Amino acid sequence: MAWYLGRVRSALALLALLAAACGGPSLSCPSGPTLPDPDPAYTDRLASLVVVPSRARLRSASEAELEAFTGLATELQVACEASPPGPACAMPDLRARLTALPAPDHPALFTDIDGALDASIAHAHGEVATGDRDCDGQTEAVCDARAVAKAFARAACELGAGHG
Amino acid sequence: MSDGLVLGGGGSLGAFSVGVLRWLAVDKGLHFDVVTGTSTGALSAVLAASGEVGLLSDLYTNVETRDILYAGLLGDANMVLHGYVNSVDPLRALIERYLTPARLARIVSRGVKLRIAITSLQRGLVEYGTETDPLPELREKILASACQPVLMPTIPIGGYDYLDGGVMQMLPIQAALDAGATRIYACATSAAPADRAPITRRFPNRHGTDVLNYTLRRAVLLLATQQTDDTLDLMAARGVDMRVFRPAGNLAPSPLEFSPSEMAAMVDEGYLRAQALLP
Repeated sequence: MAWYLGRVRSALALLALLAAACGGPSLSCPSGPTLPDPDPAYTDRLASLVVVPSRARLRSASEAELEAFTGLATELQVACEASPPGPACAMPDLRARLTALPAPDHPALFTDIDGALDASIAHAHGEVATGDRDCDGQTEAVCDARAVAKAFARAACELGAGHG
Repeated sequence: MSDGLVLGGGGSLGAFSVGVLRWLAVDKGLHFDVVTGTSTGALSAVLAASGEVGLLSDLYTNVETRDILYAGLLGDANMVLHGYVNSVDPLRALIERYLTPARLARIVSRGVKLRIAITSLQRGLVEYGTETDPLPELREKILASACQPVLMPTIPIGGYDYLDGGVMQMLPIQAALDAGATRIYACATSAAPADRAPITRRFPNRHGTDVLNYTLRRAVLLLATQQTDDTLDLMAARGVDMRVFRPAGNLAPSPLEFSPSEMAAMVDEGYLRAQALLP
């Protein structure tokens, strides 16, 4: 009997997982190209800097690697667009999850994307003083994560993932 | 040591140079004291000089042909009526939108010397727009710098007619040296001779439209490429301290087609190419 209940529980867990996968959030992509604001806000400036190295490196990613990245981008999009932002929307957590993504075909893929973040953030911090950033009262770690989440979503979208 | 950034012409292919700049300015942390540009490089030079590389790459991955040119219903028949094929009203509006008084002030306050190459039809020489020009004049010079002969109009400035700086100076390295640069970072949109594969498509020579679409556009591209090769050879022979960034192969087929997805691919290619050449 216990064996039987265990199998039933496993089957139910699997069904729940499938349901979550089917009905879970999907990446939201812009409907088409739009010229950037001539005077972009801080998060847009940082996102623009992060998207290039991310997208450039993802072009050589395998389907599975791109899928893993898109999954992270989706979770970050949800967390960072929530008000207040979810706990996943913070730089230390974001970077730990990025570098932990499986990259069987290109082992350095996600660490390379992570490696380009420092230079982008430093450059954006140099462009816009702390007080002029559109951080809505959030900490720097959350504010930067919002921008990086935008960039990751854009990179995934521009490479064909997500929904318009 | 004074670093100069030189951005060559090439229409939509300028996206490659934007990717190179992204690597140099952000990952390598380079600051350029002098920025020179021709044609599409003139458009990029403004945001390169103001230090806004992210905005520049965003612009080059979102701009479409309709934001640059307008051929209208008549298409190539415009040449008979107006003397050129495409109106550049959209490009003029784009330049006005992004080259604002605040941005020009930012360039000046950063101490960057800006040189925009334009060709004077009457004088038969290359002149330059600079950061000290009045804003309306600098905007017109940037527009003129991007106006390919026949395909776009000439731009009247101060009683003379101007067009694409690339007619005489595709890669304005000398202008950067003259402005005080001692080390040059040159971005060209054509591959080096050894990396250029012949394109396989034939060029029909039948009707007027075919001549414009294939022969003239291809001929302009070949002339520009040869001029780039010659400039780089000359500067190398003179011992100029120079790092050159060129694509590893042919880029997109038409420099006058602005496709965001193709341009994003070129930005990425430039970024990775620069990383490989200057890790």
